[in-house]
Amino acid sequence: MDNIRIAMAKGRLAKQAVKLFRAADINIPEDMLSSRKLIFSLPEENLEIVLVKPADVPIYVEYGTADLGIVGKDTLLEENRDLYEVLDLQFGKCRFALAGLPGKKESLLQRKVATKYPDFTRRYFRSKGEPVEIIKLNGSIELAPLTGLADTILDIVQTGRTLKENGLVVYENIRQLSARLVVNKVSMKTSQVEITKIIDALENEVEGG
Amino acid sequence: MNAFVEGVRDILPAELRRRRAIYKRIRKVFQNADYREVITPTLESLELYSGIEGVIDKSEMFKVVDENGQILVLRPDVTMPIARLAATRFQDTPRPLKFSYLTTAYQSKNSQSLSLKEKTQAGVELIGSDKLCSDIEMIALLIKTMKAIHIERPLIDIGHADLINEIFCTMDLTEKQRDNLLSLLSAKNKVEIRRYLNEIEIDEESKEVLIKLPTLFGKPGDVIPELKKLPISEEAHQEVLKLEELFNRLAELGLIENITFDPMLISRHGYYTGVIFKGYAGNHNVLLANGGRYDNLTEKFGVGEPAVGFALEIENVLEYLNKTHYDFEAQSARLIINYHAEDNFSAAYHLAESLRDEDYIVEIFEDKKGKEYIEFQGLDYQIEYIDKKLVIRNIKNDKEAELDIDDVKSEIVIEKLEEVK
Repeated sequence: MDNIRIAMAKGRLAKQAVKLFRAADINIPEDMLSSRKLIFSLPEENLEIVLVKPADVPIYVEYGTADLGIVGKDTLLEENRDLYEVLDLQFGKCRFALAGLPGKKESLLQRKVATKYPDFTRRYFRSKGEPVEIIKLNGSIELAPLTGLADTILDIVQTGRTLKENGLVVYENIRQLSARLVVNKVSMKTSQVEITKIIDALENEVEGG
Repeated sequence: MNAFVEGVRDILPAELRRRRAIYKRIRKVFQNADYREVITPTLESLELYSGIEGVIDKSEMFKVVDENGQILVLRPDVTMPIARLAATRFQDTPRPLKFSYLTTAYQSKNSQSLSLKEKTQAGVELIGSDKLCSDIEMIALLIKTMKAIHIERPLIDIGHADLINEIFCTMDLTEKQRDNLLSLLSAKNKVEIRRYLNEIEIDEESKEVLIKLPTLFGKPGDVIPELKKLPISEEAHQEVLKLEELFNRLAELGLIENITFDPMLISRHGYYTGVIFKGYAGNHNVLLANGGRYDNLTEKFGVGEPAVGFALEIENVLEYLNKTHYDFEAQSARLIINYHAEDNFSAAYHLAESLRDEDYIVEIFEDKKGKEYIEFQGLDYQIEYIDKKLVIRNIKNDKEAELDIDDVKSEIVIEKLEEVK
């Protein structure tokens, strides 16, 4: 049997994922993330871990290059890929929210929305039947209303501190987000025993802890 | 000029040879099971594909306008044209009808990994039978076809298009709630299902079923008993019993090792009505085949009749076979004859012809060809007319043999070719 390959979103989520795997008795070396290597083979666990950009995790898993993936729900909603989403890992918790300058919300004629999540934003406003102009940015979204590039932003909000420090307020909370375990649809069938074992171990840890 | 079109590609000799070998094997399996091959037009009317829910999204089809302003599409799938054929040209023919095809289909968007706009599909359709034995025949035939093209450990994942609706029917749900639950169930999204069930009003029994469902898949022998234990509707229970019968019969045929069962298997094609199945190779992550029962599809043409079929995705199959490096057919030896002087031409020509009759692949050219050409063509032997001699050289190992020009006869040349092998 081939090794099971897991794609992890580099950064904060991977750190917490390593912690979770270790707690679930799946022996990933603690120092894995301090090296610059992108691919790790763990023969004694029959695992292989690849570290990729968050937005690439769903792609690796949909194509079957990775069997499992650990990624934020925000990325999953934006990428909208054909995957099994089997577990809420209960970390990386935050929410999607609309925000902007205080007092401006009601005076908007047609919103200009700046976001890192253009596809999700399009679908969200379409489902509400509200026409908007979407501006895709790659970072520092909070700048957009301050500089006049856009009047509203759709972004992930954790504590709200960044918004507050930039003088912005939440207009609307859209939904809660957290890290998820996703599975390739074919792997789930062809390596059911191995994958179920991992899911069960992680679920036990998440539900129990 | 930019002559590059995304999503389509040229098929070069090495790949085509492989394809032909696969096509030959597939055709033989289909033909020996008496599924006769048909070719339907590349162009179909848009109307054929519209009006049936969930077939293929209109935006995903390639459209062409003819001189009368009628909108045509490049055939996005082959099942619909064959259903049309059955309902029109073969309306009065005794049933069942058995057809096969090996052709291309066109879609502008393709969620499967290889994002090709032109895909080759090989499939069969069995029209006019609603019997369980026809479902079994389809699944067995798919496994046989996969084995014939050297797919190791073929795996068929079986589901049922109506089962979930039968399960839903005794639950007090709005249409929107059903849709939401359906997409969560098909994504096996346990997390959201649990959360969603807490949001809506639903009785405990239904809740138990809906939470359990996404975890039920795998070996039929494990899943069926679990499914029977659930408090599901009588209609759903009946469907489960029918599926159990299907699995028992597949076990009798010795095929159960190739079967997995997923009650929540949902197909992209909305026209399936009964059993649906997908084909994989045991150690490969790409969908290789799709199939199922579509009992309402021909209704569109005024005559509703049961039907079942499947299609192999040839490009995905090729990707798999490239990975396993299976070599299909040993190719005949390839050789080149260089005759150098005009007066040797007719002798060389006759030699080439008689070697071709013996199934050698023979090129003939006046001057000696360089190494680059020989490598590109993948030649095995070089035969040269040098003075009064014929020099036979194995390109791979440099072994040489020669004979007198007056002794040249194809039998002797073949002997010498064997000598330097």
